[in-house]
Amino acid sequence: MSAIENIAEVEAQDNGLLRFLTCGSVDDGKSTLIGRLLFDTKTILADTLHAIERTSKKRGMEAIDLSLLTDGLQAEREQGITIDVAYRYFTTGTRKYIIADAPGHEQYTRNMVTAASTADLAIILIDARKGVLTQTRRHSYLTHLVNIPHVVVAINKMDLVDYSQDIFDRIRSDYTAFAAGLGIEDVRFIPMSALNGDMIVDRGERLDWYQGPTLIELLEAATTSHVAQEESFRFPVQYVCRPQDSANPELHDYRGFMGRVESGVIAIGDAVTVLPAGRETRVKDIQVMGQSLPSAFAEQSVALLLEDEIDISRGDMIVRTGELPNVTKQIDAMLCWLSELPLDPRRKYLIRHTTRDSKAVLAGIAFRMDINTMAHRAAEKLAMNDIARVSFKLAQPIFADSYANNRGTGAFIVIDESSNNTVGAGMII
Amino acid sequence: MGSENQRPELWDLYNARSFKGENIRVFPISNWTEFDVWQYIERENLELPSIYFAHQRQIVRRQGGMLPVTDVTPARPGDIIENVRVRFRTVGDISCTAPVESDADTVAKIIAETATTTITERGATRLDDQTSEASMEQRKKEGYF
Ligand SMILES: Nc1nc2c(ncn2[C@@H]2O[C@H](COP(=O)(O)OP(=O)(O)O)[C@@H](O)[C@H]2O)c(=O)[nH]1
Repeated sequence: MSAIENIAEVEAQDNGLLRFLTCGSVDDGKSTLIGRLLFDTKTILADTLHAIERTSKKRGMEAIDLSLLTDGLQAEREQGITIDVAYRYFTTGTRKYIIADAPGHEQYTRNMVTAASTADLAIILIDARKGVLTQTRRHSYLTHLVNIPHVVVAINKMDLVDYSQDIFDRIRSDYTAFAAGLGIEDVRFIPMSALNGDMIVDRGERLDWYQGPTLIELLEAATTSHVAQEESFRFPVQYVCRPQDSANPELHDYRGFMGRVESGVIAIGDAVTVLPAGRETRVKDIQVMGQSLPSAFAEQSVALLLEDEIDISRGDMIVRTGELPNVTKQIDAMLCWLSELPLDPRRKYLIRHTTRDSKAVLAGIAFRMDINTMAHRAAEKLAMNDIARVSFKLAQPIFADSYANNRGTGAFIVIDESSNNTVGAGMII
Repeated sequence: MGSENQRPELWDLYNARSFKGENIRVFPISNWTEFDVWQYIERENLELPSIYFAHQRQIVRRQGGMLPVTDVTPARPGDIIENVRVRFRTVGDISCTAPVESDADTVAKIIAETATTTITERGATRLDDQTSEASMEQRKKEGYF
């Protein structure tokens, strides 16, 4: 037999990449759900399938255990290698998916925040027999904190509650009530059985009363792109390109400010302001590999050429005139502490925000968040996995938006210079 | 730093700071699939060694896979040597790198073939991998890359 088997033709249509996160308590069915997605989209790979068939048989099961599909990294975890988040990949032919799977235990807040920071969508699993639990609240709070654009509440194990619409409705209204208190608005609910494959890729036969989309339909349709027209233009400068070719007079005055458009859109001729200098000028050209573009939008990496000669270096920011961010040396933020060494109020840290690094000291902890009860508690220092509202004083100004408005210019990390480790994740208020 | 010190990756704020004498390992395309790699090769029109394209080769079959017959991996008594049209999907140490049967002798044909393949690159071609789902991680740890 050839090693290559054909199952599905992959089409050329491309809806881009969707990153999503799965959260649930132990045994809610997270592994089964992911396995089901891979299996029913026929993206599970034949060798992986053989491996889990073997393992299922070895364990005396007659059907294959789909949760084994996600157990690949278990061994490393047991060996104590730090893999904070396991990533899994699949593709449907129209879209590529990256699933971030953060372990569900309480002490893994930092793993979930890490996984959530790049996710477009979160699936929060609820066991239909148990309803909304403390863990559900915790996961929902964290997805909200990190501002994941789409939230899907998957009410799983519907087969164990006789596919009851009453139970689904009750859990949905419980969830909606507490989510509203947190300010979470746009949530979708899907009843499902990961075990039987109902409402994941196929609709199944027992959930006729549910008219909404299946999970895969929601994933396929979820938007990921920046809404460029509504966002402010933000261009943190990564690198200043000054060709050294002094023999070529044309290049003598060339200054290309290179970076990635963090948000918004800019066109040749637009008025821009350079921070921190505050100087105003216009965009003379937008270039990619020597080619000129009329405009550039979020996520594109380009070189901007400006009409006036302005002294600009890495860490500066080019924005649209009239749409200035906060230029500030004092930030208030929600901070998730990631390090085993507690946050020390007497120490200097380094804050990295877009392409800019600045020394910083803690100016105060307003409160620590008890993410089980949502209560605010007083705190002197922060331990690993703590989430708190804090303020920092910076040695240099940063150009910030609130994280709720702009993930790219609202997020920062805290670095401990004595170890160079990333020790904190911050979201500016 | 040891691989135990994998730093959390938040947003796209990468922390690549290091002290003198420290090494940092980066896997910039670790989330690329084989399909992505071939599409990139096509788009950038990259030159590749001919071993990646379909060619005739002497092989023996073992553990459901194929092993090329070479000086370092000679046929064993009882092996049936076949002459098969194959290509290599990965090229590493010849003693553990196996070809797959294929007629794809151009990048376009390989892309067409890859798009419909259901066996992972590692599964089809790395004989030692089948015993352990964790062995790729093990390799990263040992500095295989
Ligand atoms: N009856 C039923 N059992 C399920 C369902 N989903 C998962 N399970 C079972 O619940 C147990 C825990 O599932 P698993 O996927 O390992 O949970 P995880 O800890 O969240 O990854 C396993 O025995 C699964 O077979 C479901 O929809 N219905």
